[in-house]
Amino acid sequence: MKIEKRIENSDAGGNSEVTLLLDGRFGSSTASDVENAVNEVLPHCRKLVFDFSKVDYISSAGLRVLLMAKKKLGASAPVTVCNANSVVKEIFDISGFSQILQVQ
Amino acid sequence: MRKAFRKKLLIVVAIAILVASFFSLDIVDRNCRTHAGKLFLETYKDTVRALNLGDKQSYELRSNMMHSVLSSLETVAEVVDSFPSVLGKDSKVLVRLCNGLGLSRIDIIDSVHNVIAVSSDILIVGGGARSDRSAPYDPSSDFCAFVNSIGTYRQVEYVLDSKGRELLLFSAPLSRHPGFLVRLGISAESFKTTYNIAENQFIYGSLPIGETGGVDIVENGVIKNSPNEHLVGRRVEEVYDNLILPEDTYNFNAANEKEHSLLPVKRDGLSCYYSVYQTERYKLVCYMSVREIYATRRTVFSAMLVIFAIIFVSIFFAASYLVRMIMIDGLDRINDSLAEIEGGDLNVRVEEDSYPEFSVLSQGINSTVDALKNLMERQVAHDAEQMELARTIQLSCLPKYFPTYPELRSMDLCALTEPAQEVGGDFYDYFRISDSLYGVMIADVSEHGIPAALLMMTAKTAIHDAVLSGDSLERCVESVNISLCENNATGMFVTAFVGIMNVASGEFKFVNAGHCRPILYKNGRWQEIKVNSCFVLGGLDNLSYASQSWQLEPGDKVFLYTDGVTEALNEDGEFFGAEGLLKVLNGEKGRSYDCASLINYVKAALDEFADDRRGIGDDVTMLAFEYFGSRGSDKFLEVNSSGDELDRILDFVEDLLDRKADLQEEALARIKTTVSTVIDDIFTNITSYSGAEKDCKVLIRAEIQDCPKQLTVHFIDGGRPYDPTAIETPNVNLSFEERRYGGLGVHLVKNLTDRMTYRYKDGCNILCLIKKLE
Repeated sequence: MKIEKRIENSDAGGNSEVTLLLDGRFGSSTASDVENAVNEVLPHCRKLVFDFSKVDYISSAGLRVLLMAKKKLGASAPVTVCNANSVVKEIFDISGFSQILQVQ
Repeated sequence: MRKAFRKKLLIVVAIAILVASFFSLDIVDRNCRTHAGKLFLETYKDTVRALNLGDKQSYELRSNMMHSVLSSLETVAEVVDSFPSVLGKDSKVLVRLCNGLGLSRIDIIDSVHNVIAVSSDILIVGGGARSDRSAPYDPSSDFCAFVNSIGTYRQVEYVLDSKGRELLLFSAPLSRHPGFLVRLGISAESFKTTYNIAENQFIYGSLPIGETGGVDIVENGVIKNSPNEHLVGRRVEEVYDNLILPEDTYNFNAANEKEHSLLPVKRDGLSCYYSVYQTERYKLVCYMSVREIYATRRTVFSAMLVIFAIIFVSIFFAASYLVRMIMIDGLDRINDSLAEIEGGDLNVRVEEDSYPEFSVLSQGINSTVDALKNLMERQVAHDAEQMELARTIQLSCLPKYFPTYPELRSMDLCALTEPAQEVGGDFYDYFRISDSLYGVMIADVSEHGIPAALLMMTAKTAIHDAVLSGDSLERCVESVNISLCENNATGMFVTAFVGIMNVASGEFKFVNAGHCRPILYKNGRWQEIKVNSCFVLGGLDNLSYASQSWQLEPGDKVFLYTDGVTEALNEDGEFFGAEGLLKVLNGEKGRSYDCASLINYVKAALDEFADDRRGIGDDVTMLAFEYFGSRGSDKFLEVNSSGDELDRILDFVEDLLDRKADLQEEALARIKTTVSTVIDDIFTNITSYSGAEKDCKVLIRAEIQDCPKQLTVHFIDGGRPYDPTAIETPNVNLSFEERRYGGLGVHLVKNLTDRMTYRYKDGCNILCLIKKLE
């Protein structure tokens, strides 16, 4: 899976809005890659955006990474998923993640 | 009921009329007799008055007679005094005197010498005073009694004179000529005549009563007078056949004050009623003919009868009307409701409340029907439950998972049975004998329902066990036939097609025991194949059964069925037939479909043909299998139990979808996303939780069926038993702080697929996922 990081709007404290553009299957075999990328950007992150425009699917392993990110960032920092296809959005609904993340 | 009631009422009314008539007849009779009795009493009183009057007149007549005797005596005495010459024996004066006074004789008696001194009859002059003979004396005669009564106050003699005449001699002394008596002789005959005239004219006055009645005056057993003159003087025994006269000591004064009862009698040949009254001297028999007494009876009785008839007929109609109004109309309405209930409609309520009794009756019927309905519903529910249980048991003994052996690469089989009733007599079987041999069987027990189902269980077990024993197929079928004959009390039999498929060599060996011909797909066409047909099973024992075999090539298919398929009827009463079946099979779909789709497709076509199943009267069973050759089909992918293999599986399934799903691009993308998510999570679960070792293999079988259009993916692994369907659903409504990791995978799979089934068979976990493609 290819992961592209985009860091924008850094503030005085060095915290930025981070967008991760995911490309490929977001499943059990690639979740660890995303997890590493998230862990990398988390310390300096005040808003995390996952761009799903090129995601083939997301399995429970992928959801686990998103939950981890949200738990680590806490309530103050929003985690957003954008450009997800209809099936992925349905999966967020089924799993209750629509209530935890901001799905656009 | 109305008719019966009227009939009975009519009988009662008729009896009432009869009884009333009988009593009224009696009353009329009594009345008639009472009336006659009163007439008798009155007539008796009149008769008594007439009798008294007669006595008086009779007395006066006799007095006159005696008076004329005495005056004659005086006249004679004066003549003798005036003409003393008479005493000088001058009889001429006496003769003239005798003629002038109408006497028979006049004597002058010399009482001193006691001789007749002078007489009008000169022949006796000088004779003794007592020279006349005495007349014969009858003390019982009325006349003699009368003479005696005169003798008490006047000297009188009753004699026969010399000429033989009966004379009464009256004597008196001559006052101026002492010693002489004058004696007059009066003819007794003329005296008697006068006497009798008095008796007859005044004493015996007999009165008539009505036209045929009257009073017979009886004295001393003799009828003294009667309205019928010819009966006078006859004795009562001669006139009456059975007259009872009271004793003379009868206390008539008291008894005559009231009416006497009337008694029947025959009087001079005429039927009469009579009563006897008494006077001092007579017995008065009052009588009247029965006919006259009852003369008014007919009229009165007829009038009464008419009145009774009118009264009772009125009562009859009034009673009929009232009963109909009060009872029968209500009962009719209840009966109408009951008829509907009897016709099977237990929802009908009896609502008749015109009278409290009907309300109670209606309520009683309603609650009885309710109770019955509840009982029936419970019974029906119980029966349905039992039959459903029986159906479940029966179907559970047939292979119901298809593919039954999903790991089998060289052969694919699917079957379906649908009993006409809850349970049936059709069955099929499919089982592994060895790695390369598989038993295939379809059979039909004659008849259907419970008896067929019971025999079906026996036959299925017998064939299964025989084929598994490893004997030759012919021997197996022969032994099954013998055992079915031994235990067949009801005369039912089984037609069966039993085969053994060698998946290594492609040889299909079979015995056809009276069953429908098999249909073979070879070289792009379905064809019914004429095979040797042996006798049915369970019919005759000790038969031998011959087997045949076909060499199947990869892509060949076999279709087996029971006669329920071909005997289905359409609306016009035409059979589906083997022709109809072949037509369906040889259509474009029939030739290209996989076994499972083919079975569903043929079944749908059959149901449509048979007017939405209404024309299916028998159990319907079909079985189809396809031989893929030892190389196997392209449905399979074998991977190591490792996460590294995930991409291969995803690529394999995506490739299948690209080739065969036949969907629009967008729909295809959605299906791919969905299926990828599902496969990722399931494979991850298998590698993580079933404990499959790294070198252990996981077999993936993916296929797209056409009828219904769906993707089926099997995961088969030899790891520990692990049932993902049993995993609990996590709570997806918690906040992110509360939520835990894991547990979401199976939840997603359940929600994203149409069906997920798990079974553990022959040491393997078999998980089947189905996703519809429509």
